[in-house]
Amino acid sequence: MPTPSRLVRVFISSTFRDFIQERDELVKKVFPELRRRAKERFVEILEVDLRWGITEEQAKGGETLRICLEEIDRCRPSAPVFFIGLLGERYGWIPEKDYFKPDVLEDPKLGWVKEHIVEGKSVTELEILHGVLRNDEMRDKAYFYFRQDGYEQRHWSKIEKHHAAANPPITREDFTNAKSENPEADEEKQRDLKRRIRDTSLQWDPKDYETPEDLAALVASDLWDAIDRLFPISAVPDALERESLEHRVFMESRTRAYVEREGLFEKLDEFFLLPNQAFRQETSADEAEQEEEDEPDSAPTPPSVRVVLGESGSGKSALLAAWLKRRDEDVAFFHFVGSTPSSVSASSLLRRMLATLRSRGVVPASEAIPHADEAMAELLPFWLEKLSERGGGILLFDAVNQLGSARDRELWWWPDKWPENIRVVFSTLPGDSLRAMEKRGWKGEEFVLRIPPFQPEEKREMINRYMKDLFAREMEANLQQLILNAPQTSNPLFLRTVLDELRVRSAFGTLEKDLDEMLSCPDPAALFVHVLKNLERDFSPPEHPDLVHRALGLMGVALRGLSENEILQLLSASPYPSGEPLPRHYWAPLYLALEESLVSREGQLSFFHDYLRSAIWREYLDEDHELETAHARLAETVTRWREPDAFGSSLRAYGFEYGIRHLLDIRRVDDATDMILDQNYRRRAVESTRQASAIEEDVSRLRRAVALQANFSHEVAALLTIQALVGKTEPECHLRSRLDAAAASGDWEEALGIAGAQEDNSLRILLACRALLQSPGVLSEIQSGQISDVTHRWAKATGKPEWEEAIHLVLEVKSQPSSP
Amino acid sequence: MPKITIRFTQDSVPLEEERDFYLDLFRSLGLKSRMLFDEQEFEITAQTKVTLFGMETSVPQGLQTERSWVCRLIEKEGFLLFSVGGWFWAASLKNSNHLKKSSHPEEMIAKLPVDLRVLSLKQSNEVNDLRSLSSLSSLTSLNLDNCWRVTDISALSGLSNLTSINLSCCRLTDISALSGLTGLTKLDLSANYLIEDFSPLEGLIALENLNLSATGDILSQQDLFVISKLTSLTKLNLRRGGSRYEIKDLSSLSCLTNLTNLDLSDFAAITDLSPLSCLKALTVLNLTDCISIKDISPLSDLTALRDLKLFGCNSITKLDPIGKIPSLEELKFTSRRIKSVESLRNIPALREVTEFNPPEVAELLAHTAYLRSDRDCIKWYSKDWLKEAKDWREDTSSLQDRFAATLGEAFSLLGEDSIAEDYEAFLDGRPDFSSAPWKAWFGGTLKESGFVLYRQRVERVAVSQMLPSAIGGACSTLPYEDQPEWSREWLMSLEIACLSDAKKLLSVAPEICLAHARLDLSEALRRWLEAFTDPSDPGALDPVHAALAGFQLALNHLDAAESHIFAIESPSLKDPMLANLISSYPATDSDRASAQLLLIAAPATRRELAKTLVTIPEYSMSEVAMQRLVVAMDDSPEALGELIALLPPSAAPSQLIQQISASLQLDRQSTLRKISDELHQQADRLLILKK
Repeated sequence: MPTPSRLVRVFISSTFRDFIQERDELVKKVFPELRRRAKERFVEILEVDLRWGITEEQAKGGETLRICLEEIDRCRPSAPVFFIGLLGERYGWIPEKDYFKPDVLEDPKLGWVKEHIVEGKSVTELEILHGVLRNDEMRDKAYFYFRQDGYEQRHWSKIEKHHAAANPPITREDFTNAKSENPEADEEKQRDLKRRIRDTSLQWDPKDYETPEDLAALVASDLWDAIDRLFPISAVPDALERESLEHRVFMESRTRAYVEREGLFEKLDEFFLLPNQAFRQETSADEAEQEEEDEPDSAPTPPSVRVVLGESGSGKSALLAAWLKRRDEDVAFFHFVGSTPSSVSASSLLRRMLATLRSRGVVPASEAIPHADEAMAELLPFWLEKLSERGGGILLFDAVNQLGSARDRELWWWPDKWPENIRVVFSTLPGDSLRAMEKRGWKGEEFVLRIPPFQPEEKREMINRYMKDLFAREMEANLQQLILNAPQTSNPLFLRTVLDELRVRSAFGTLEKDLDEMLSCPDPAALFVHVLKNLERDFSPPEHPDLVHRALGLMGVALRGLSENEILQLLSASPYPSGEPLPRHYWAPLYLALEESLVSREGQLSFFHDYLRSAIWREYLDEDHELETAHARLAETVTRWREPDAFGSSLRAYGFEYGIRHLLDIRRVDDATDMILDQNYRRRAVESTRQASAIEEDVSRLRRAVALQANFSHEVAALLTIQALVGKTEPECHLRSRLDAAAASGDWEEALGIAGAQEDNSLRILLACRALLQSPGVLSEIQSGQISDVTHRWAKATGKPEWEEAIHLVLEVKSQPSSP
Repeated sequence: MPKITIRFTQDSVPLEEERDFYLDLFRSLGLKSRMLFDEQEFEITAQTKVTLFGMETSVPQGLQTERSWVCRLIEKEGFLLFSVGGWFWAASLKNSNHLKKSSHPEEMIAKLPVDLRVLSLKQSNEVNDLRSLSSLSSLTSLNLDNCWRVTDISALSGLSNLTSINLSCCRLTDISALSGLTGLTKLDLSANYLIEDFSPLEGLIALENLNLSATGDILSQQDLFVISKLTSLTKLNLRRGGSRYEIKDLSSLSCLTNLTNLDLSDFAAITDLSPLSCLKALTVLNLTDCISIKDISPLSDLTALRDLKLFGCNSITKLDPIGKIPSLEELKFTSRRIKSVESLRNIPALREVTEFNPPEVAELLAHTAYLRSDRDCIKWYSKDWLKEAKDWREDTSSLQDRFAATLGEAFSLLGEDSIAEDYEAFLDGRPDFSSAPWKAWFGGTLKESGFVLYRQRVERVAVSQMLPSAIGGACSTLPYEDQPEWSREWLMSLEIACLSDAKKLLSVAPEICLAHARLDLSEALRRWLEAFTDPSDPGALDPVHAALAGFQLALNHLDAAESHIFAIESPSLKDPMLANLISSYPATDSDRASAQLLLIAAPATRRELAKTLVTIPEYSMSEVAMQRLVVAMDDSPEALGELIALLPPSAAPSQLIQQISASLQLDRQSTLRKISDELHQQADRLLILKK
């Protein structure tokens, strides 16, 4: 992996009843603060604690442990994972031999559990064994904290107070092995476990601590050091890099289990390798004369655009992603519509395209990108000329039919003419995009590459690849034959979804029946509805019967991917969701089942395929009240903007960025207006997004919504118009005063954060200068080193070396004890 | 007008031997040469020219009044002699290769009748001394073409009756002998590449036809100036004959306004054709191998031009200016850079185009023949064109489609004709075509031949075949005003046959629906719309709604139009229709119109329309409408300023505008500038610190 995924999982393992205080401390204080700090680095932290909220005895059939262990496994390959083990005196609950269902014990990956059960190991020890002691990769990622013995003796009154509401009540015996069947043996086992942990050569020695507060301080500093090492401030990606990274993650995800289709790569290669006949039309007469001789007679102009066409799920994105991987250097820009929430607007597509061209040096770094959509579209042909002069390249736009607005889908943003050595690939479904392309004359075999349905041997290959490579299982021959015979499975997405369902459902022992049901679905759309029904049936805990419905409804409506953390908060029934998110163990099984249908970016989950989204819309969001509920819940993230603790920092940021849109979706125009016209709200929003343009679009939307009402207050309309005209002025002033304040108080990370969030390269460096000039006193060596790293990157990006000199100069001045 | 009879005497040289002579003569009199010894009659005027031995000559006064010409062509002393009533008019030296070595052409010339008018010594190897000609003082036409031993023409200076001399391919160096021959109207000096001085031509102001082609590379800008004084010229040939030529400036030619024919081939250096634009009489222009010409727009002023040659003009990329020459009949060009003959479509006279993709040319010529209703031409070429259309294998089927439609237009002019069956069979075999060819065919038939033939042709295409293009073509041509009953019946039969399988007709849904709307069959229309609807792709019905909305708009049924426009999904279709609708509302409907204005997706369209609406008092006076116009302009103060500037002077400033202008005292621009100035100052401070 060139860049680590910017999602960090933290697995917490401990016995339960004696560690409630510590867990509270971690979940309510340490992690929110870590998450806030990590957000500056665009890193998401996810604490994984499955047993939170239930007692060991309540977990049935060993499923919890199994999921728990699987989760540990799952985090390893892609995302960094840390293991935090908390140990007191108590050894904890030991499952009976018949506790586990037979299929758990027969699972090849979990087979080792069997012998340990015979030995009478506790669940906590099993976690530690699996997570750390049996797993060398975790040596440098595990942190153990041992509580001093006799803690409950010394602090009983505090403990009692903390657990006042516990039911059954907490007693002193809960902190020792006194209640266990064999107290002495357990005591010995616990001492042995601690000793084995100390003896294992872990990178970080176990630390002893006294109170939960002490623990919190230790964990906070250990974890932050780890995160800082993994994601140093000088490597914080800017908005463009982050967005590009997301497109790349999406691309990688598309190539999972991709079956190479015969002839398709060749056709695309052929297109790319067409003779270069750039500037044919534009050459002057003199050049024309020279070229007259070598120009082949009456060679038709090859079209420099290809349309990849196929029905939904036929593998267009997968084909393009796989091709892209092979042609990476030739591709000047690629965009997977639908891969990120902002990717569905032509406006952000244009911005990203121009910014990418600029960062590739096609135009000088000092060239500005205009703000208005039309202006960007007008600029594009000129930049493409520049790209052409530098040898051209491939531009690739996947799934343009998923662009959000009908106007965008008609490609108004793409020029009529472009140099021939710029080769463009669009992929689309039949429908309005395709019609718009046909209007431009992009039709016929010369232009259109159709993706054929899967052939039987291709199906077979996919089944084998999918089942063996990814899941280490083999499929029974009769099932395989059933799949092969079904005509719908010539649609790769259909086939993939069936296989994925079988994987999830294999635990239920009803494979054949499941398969029958799935193969009775006529198309992928129906299949996804069926999948949703299954999810609902299997993953609705009695306490939360509408979990699937609500969770997926929220994800369907959300304007960006939601992280697991955010989802748990949104699902919480508490008035303060940030403090009391839905316990994770309700959600985790659903998540594991859905995993292959989701794409995760920085921990934010969105749908792997648009079909799932549309199935959700059809099933869970088709009625007004359902839509209303989902939008209203997401809108709460902004309507409660005055309560900083209602939602966690990332949901709060979500609210400032997207909340108004949710309000408008449920026609709460007045509420939205009140907020927008409130100066304090505007300030908070700008502080949150750090973009002066943060609420510009919201104001525009609101103006329109107000003006379209039958009778509206003209005063409000006028105020909104003024707000629109004032534009960025007010937020820019505010951002500057925030920057000054941060710099003055020495919080240069915040100050650099504000500067770094600006899209304009020159503005970034100007703000950084400003911050440095404002900051008082001496900077530490580390600080100046890091500032220097960051500003060096930016200065390079501005194309103005004098900025870097200026920064260095001010650093020199600042880093020396001031002399009069 | 006097009529004259003509016949040849039996002792004349037989037709087979002197075929060219007879052909030329009879043709110039408008007669048939086969009837050599029979009497034929012709009319004569003062202008009548007769072609004798390859030379055009006028008829001498004496012969004009004769009732009867008894002609004789005899061979004598190495000459062919042509006489009328015993008077010798013209003579031509027999091919000199047949002459005996001993014979001297000069001696033979001396024996010719002295009042001879026309003499041809064409291709005489032997002739070099012309002194013997000086006695033939009546000569009006003299042909010395290819007398390559002739170098001295001083003997001709006395032949003051000469009006026409051909000196092509002699080896002249000095042409001063011609300077006194002021009666000359025609002079051919082509292929005399040793002439150095063309100034003797200066006084020959009667010259109408001058050929200086292939006179070497010596023609200079100064010589062009000499030629420019010959204002009677109608034909001028300056073709250079291969060698590339340096003259760049044609401006002196611009005064030769009588020119009808001009040949400037091989003027490789000329780029500016604008001097030619005043030569309004030009009918033939040859610019072959003028390789530097890029801009041909001056040619569009040559409104009499019939024949234009642009062979080898490889710098020309577009033919657009030529499309403005309505008289053009023939165009010849070769240029790899020309990709399309599209711009020639509106030249009705056009009959011939060469050196381009044959099917495209065929389509073009069929179209121009249709434009000028040239039934003979259409009839003559119909089979060829149809074959060309059938054989055309082109990826862009829209071009083939148009070819078929053009043929439909053209063939329908022929009424009942044998080509009809072939043509319909061709269309039957091409289900990929749009309805345009059928529409052209049916529509043309109705217009040209009337309802009976139309009905016959429409009914021949059975609706049950479900050939969408044919059904669409019929729907869009139904005679709904003149034959409403039959039209309704036909639509009903269509519904019975096809409604259940309507999706197959989706490509012609607009035509079908529009036909029902025109005939006011609203129930049936509803059924069709329902049958066409595809919930998974609502945009597929856009063209239908656009067509219906357009129809309702034309009738000013705004509510009906609105509902169809709202049903359109595609903004590129919907925006212009919405704009149309908004402009159709009466000013009193400003409320509704301004709300719809905000539904236009393309900001530019929205802003333009807002700027129009703001000038209407009803809009500027309505607070609601003004608010919406302001929103429609989007967020830039500049755009808003534009809108305010357009407010009618009489309009009282609305509260909104008042409030906005009060608040804008803040002046966004200056605030921004302040911020950036401040930043730059700080940056400068840093840089100063460094120094």
